Amino acid sequence: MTVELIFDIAGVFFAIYLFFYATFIFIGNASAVINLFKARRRKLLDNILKHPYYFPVSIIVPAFNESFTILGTVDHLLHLDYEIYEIIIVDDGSTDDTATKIIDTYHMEKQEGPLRVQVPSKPIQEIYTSQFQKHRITLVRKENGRSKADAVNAGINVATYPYFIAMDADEILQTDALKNSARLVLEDENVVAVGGLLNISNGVTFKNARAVDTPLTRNPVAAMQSLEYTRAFMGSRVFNDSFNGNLNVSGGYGLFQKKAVIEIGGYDSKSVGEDMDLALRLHKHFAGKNIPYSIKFAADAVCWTQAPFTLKDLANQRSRWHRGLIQSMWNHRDFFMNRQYGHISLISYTYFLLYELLAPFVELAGVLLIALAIYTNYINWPFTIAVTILYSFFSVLQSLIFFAGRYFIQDYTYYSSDFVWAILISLADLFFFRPYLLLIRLFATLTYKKYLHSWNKIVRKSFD
Amino acid sequence: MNYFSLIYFLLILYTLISLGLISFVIIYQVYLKHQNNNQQANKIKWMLYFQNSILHPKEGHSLKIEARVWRKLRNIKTLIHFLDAFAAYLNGAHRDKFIQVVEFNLHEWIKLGAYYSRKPSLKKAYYASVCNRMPVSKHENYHVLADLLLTYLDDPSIYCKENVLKALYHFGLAKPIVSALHHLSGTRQLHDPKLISDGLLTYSGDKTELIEQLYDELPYFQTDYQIALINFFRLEPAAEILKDRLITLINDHQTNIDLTCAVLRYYTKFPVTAYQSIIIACLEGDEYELTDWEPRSVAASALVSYPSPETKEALIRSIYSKHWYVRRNSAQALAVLKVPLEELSEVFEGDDSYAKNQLNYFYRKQVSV
Repeated sequence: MTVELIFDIAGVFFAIYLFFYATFIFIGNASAVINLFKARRRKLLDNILKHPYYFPVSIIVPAFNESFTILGTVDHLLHLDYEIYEIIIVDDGSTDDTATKIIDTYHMEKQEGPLRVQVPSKPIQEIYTSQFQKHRITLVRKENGRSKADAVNAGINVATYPYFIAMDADEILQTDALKNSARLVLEDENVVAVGGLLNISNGVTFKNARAVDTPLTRNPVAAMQSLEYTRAFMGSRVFNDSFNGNLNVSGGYGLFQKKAVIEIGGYDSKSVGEDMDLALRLHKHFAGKNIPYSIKFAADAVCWTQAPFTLKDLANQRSRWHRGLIQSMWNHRDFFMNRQYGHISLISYTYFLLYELLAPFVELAGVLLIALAIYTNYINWPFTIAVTILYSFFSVLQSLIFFAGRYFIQDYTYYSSDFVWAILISLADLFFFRPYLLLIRLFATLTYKKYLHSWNKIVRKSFD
Repeated sequence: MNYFSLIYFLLILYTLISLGLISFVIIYQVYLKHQNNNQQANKIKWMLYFQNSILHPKEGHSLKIEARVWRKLRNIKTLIHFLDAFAAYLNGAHRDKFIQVVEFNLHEWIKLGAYYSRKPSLKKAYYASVCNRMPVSKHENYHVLADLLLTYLDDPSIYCKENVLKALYHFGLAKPIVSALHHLSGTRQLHDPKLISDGLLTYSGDKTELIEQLYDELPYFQTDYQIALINFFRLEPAAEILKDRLITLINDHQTNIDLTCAVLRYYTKFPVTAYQSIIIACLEGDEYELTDWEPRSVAASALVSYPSPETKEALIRSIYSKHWYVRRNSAQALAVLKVPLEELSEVFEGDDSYAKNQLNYFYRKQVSV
């Protein structure tokens, strides 16, 4: 095979690959902007279900050594603008004083009652409860299950209400988040899960579960993730929502119908990407049996999460995510080109396969081919430079559309310097973070078996 | 190199459209900001109009809003600003005068509603939401307005339907509400039962009249709607008048299980001693499949309103049920009824550790309360 032939085949492949990617991103983002614009107009014209209270919800907060953040998280949860909810903190065998802090702060008492185990989890050792303000707070102490899934399952067994929220212990649920996601369930009785919009809390100031000052953090690692989250949640999630094609309800914030989750056996504690695995199993359960259902995304249900602010922590987090992705995609490979699952199979699963799972290899092959082309002097420099500049510009624009579009969802503090910073970070994302993350994902793929269940704790700061 | 040219061309195209999108997003934000500033100015403009034409007209007394104004209100933004100004007077010192203005111009408002009925859902829903904030009076034109709003129910938007229903509850007219629910049920449009039952609780008219009318039509609604109505009856004190009638639904063994549960909950709130045996039969009877634990568990909870030796015996028997919730609710009911522990010795001395656990838990809880 001649070098020319290799380049010709590769050229066709990369042209098609880039064509579908750019088209998908472009159509997705354009339709997401239109959807967000329509949602904003609906709100302005009272096209919204307002209800004094919707339905009772259990908020499950799995915590493993979250001594720094747990009290702040619970305190913010107590400020939710929602009538009936309970907070269940699942202490997953912490070795720090997470449990003691909660017991002391909320004057909890030990309970010994019957427990109906409906989904599997490691044994529950103790349950403490207290009534604080008008909400019940429950602390579940259990054996460490080495997974978030196991902790949430324990929370489901203790939950008393028909819907539950699964979130992380280092997050702030915005005061109207629960209301805005619950609304979707009242709008459509077939909704079994609602995902929320995750924002990066680094640099943001909160008061009573409300973001009062929202500058784009000046830490470049966190700022890059801030743009990335905005792009992912406001872009692809909103777009996928239009055809019930979201393959994931983020573990950071999801509202679920308890009955539906119990029906599929709860979270899979062996799964590293437990959130994606659950969403895929929900799709499989309902679509497979032709039961009408939908998994919705509420762009105005905002949850603030702490992003890793060092490259090392970012690498740890992304490696785990990528291994979780590989595991979920492989475990649910029957979604691939399966007519039974309609758009989920044809669009969402195929996109994830080609542009998330296989992307590291395609990108690596691209880099190697460019190197080979330079070496063999086969490269068309004017064309390469022009496409690179054009694609960079296109890519930066996709980030900026949603950075500016955040105001469709709610009132963020506007700083003109943030816009300039966002442009710089978008460029840094393109030329530094993406290559860095490419290496991380390659490493995660190559060490999949070895480190699948490894867990490196990420450094957190307590909320102010 | 043709495919490369295609990519090149597409990237240019996408980039240009993306530039258009970002410009749109930014311009729209600026526009909204400008709108916010404008809104205040427009509101003041309309307030001045009301001052000059209603409060201090040049030619004596006037309640009429001119035809040219009604024409302008066909623009949704103008309508928003107009209503902002109107609400400021309606909620202020001139409330009585502005209530008269509403009544006097109701006919024109209905004509405006007829205009909006041909507009997209978004605008129809907004018009209906404004009706929900209108002052209510006995004026006969409210019936005409209610009839107009009923035509909005054919719109597929859930917001439009809900805003119409809210407006009808607000008007306090029973007949249009029954017609609206009939229409939704008859055309198999699902509307969340919770929205219906909670919405009916906000009804501002004669609740007895509404309850009677809804009860008369109950058999003709779809099951989801029937459940919503029974839930409303349970939550509404005036619905006690139905306590001798709803029992027929339990007696009819063809009744849907969820509906039976709703009726059982009604009889927890409004107990009738004579029906105790029927409720005990729901707990223990064999008319349900073994897997149908829901009516049994609800019946167990309902029995807290029927203290008697028969109730106690039935609950003790049910504490051994194979269904977790039946057992749980029976134990809870026994604790709530304060059945003395010595009368439960059979359970405590028996082999069923689940039954013992349940009882222990609820009795301990009772003591701590």
